[in-house]
This record gives sequence, C-alpha cells and structure tokens, in this order.
Amino acid sequence: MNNLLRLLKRFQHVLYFLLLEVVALTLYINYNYYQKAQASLVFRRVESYVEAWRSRTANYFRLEEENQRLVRENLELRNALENNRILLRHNPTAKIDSALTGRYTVRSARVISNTTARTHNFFTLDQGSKNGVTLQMPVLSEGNVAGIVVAVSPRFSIAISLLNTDLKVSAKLARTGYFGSLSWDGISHQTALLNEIPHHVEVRAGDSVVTSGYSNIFPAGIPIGLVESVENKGGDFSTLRIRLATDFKRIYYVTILQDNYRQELDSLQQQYEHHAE
Amino acid sequence: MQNRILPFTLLFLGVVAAQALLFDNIQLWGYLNPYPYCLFVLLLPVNTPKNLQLTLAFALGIVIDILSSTLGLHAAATTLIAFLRPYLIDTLQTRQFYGKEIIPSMRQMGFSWTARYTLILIAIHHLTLFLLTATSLANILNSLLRATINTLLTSAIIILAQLFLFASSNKVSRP
Repeated sequence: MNNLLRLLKRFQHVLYFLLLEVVALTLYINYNYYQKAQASLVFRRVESYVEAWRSRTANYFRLEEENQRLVRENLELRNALENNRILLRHNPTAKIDSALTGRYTVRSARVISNTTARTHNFFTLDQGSKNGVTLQMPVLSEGNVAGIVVAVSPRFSIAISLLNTDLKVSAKLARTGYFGSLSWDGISHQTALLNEIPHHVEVRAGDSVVTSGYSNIFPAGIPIGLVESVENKGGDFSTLRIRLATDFKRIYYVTILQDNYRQELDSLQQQYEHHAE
Repeated sequence: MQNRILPFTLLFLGVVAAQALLFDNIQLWGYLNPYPYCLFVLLLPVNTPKNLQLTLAFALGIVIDILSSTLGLHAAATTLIAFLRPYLIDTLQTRQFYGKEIIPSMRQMGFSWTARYTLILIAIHHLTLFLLTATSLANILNSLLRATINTLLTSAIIILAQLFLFASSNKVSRP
C-alpha cells in the first residue's frame, strides 16, 4: 500500500497533466460556436476599442477603393430605381404589396476585425445593441451572404463568418430551385460545399446559388456564390463546390438586415410546436 | 527563484499581448498563422516544479483561447508540451545542468541545441493544435501541411525573439 502511494506521489504530475488535458479537451469539444462567441465577447470589450481605432486608421487608406465601389453600387441602385419607375408608369394600377415592404430594415456596419485562416472564423462589427442589432440578424456584404450575428454588446457585435465549419446555410440553385445545405470545409476562403443536391439535377458550372428562404434568418434569393464543380460523394446526393461571392479577405463594410416580422414568425412557430406535442 | 517572478510575469503578459495584437493578424496566403506565445513555456527555468509548469502552461493556453474564441484548443496543446518538456530536456541535454536553475534559452545553450529543442516542442504543439481543429473535417493532409509550415515559422520567430530576451538573467553563475 505504501509503495502504491509512493508511486502515485511520484507520478502525481502525470495525473495532474491528464486532468488538465481532459479539462481543456472537454472545453474545446463542448463549446459550440455560439457559446464561444459569447464568452469571447465578454473579454473583447477592451480589445474592440483598440481594434476599432486600428481599423479606422487602416480604412483611411482604402477610401479610394471604397469610393469606387460606392459609385458602382449607386449606379446600380439608380438603374433599378429607374426601371421600377418605368414599370409603374406603364402599369399605373399596380399596387406595391404592402406585405412585402417594410419587412426588412437595413443597417450598415463596418468590419473592425476579421479572421479567415482558422477553421472557425468570426468577424466583429462596430454596431451593437445600442444601434438595435440583435442576435441572429443576417449580415451581407455587397448584397451577398457573409454571416450571422451571434453575440452582441452595447457597441459591437460578433458575427459567425460563412468561413466557419459550424455554420450551415440553407441554399438553393437559383435556376432549378433544388435546395441543399451549404457549409464550409475549411480548404479555401473562396469556396464552400453545397450538399444534399439530388444526383439527377442538371447542374452547370456558373449556376447561381442563393439562399433558399427556408431558414428564418436569411430572406430568399440572397446570392451566395456560383457553382464551380461537382464533387460526387456517392449515394443519392452529390456535393457541389461553390465559389463564394463574398471576398472574405476584403470585407470592410457590411449590411445587417433586421427582419421586422421575425418575432411574429418565431412565436407563431413556437405556438404551433407546443400544440403539436 | 523570487527574483524570477517579475520578469516571467512580464513575459507572460508580453507574449499574450504580442500574440493578440501582432501575430494573430499575420495570416498570409491563408496558411500562415504563427503562435510564438509558446516561447513562454519553452523558457521556463528547468527546475520549475512540474505542477507549476503545467498550471502556467494551461493558464497561458486558456488566455490565448479566450482571445481567439477557441476555448480549450490552445490550452490542450500548451499543456501537452509543458508536460513533455522536462523529458525532452533530459533527453537532449549535452551538458550538465548545474543546479537546474537555468533558463534553456539560446544564449545559454547555443543555437544548435535551441533549434532542436524549439523545433521538437513546437512541432508537437502545432500538430496537436492543427489536428484538433481538423477532427471535424476530412482534411487531415491540409492540417498537416499547415502544422509543418507554421512549425517552421513559429520556431524561427521564437529563435529570433531570444536574441532580445533575458539578456541579463542569462549570465547565471556557474560553478
């Protein structure tokens, strides 16, 4: 017995090491991206100020590029507006369906911190709860899917990037309408995988992939990317490699969408699920 | 031992700050992300109590984790190398450690020894790190590639950094 105790004492640091390792691995495995973002937000408040200052300085050097982008976007919007006016002029009895207007409020935000090299990437925005940002708001960059807000503090928020293996977005092929699940596989910051597309569907390189609208988070039809190639993985479904529309290496300004009908939708679905039990 | 606490506390904070502010932002070509905070674990005096080494490494790992939202990942890797370090030092030593109070830095041990020591520990650390992040992907090869490249980069940074650190404490009196 004495010998055993002495043996244990000699190896106590091994046991301590094993204990610490198990704790560390348990933490790693059990924390999903939501909790990780929440936890990091608490500690990020100070860091956010530093990063906000740093990115403001860096952005000064990108003003020219941003300016050109804004001019382009402005032009597109004016064109779209003009087209709408023409349509209305030719069809004066058409009434804009009030069910569709006023659903989304658009906010713009600046990205003050971004990662693309990890397998779980997030980016930080300079709008927070004081600006009306809440959890699960979709984040778009130049009109394309970029991420979802997962943590909010008064002045900042953290969004999970599309370049995060934990995020799955319901997406469909714009042309044929078949939908599947889009997720990132960590290989390149430019591509992601669209799974669960039936084998028989005709897919061409260059086909658009957009949000399906089947999640409560993203409205339908938001561009995600273009089909690059088909990677068959056997079974009844094939996997498509999608080239993402958003350039995550150069993401500086984003828009956050607020769905004004979300609360109603959520409570309705909750009610229905309650009754179904 | 007492006069070591302050410089090492500063080193701990310095290494975390450098990692968070400087090295975390180095993401060239999508593959490079160095983690030179391991320097702290590598430079702990050889005679530090093993439990203390493990605790410090775990704490360092957790702090880095918090700052990069990867709770537990760095802690696991850093604790592992802190555990293996004494065995490695014993295997690698080419001269006697008098009193074992020595910091195994480059000035003390010479370039060749430090290179081997650093590369081995960093390799283990990065392999653990990158393989753990790959368990959810089918891309082990990609992770191994990253681990290799970053091992070289981090080791290079650590060796370079040692040219500037602990200038005075290296002159440990030897009998």
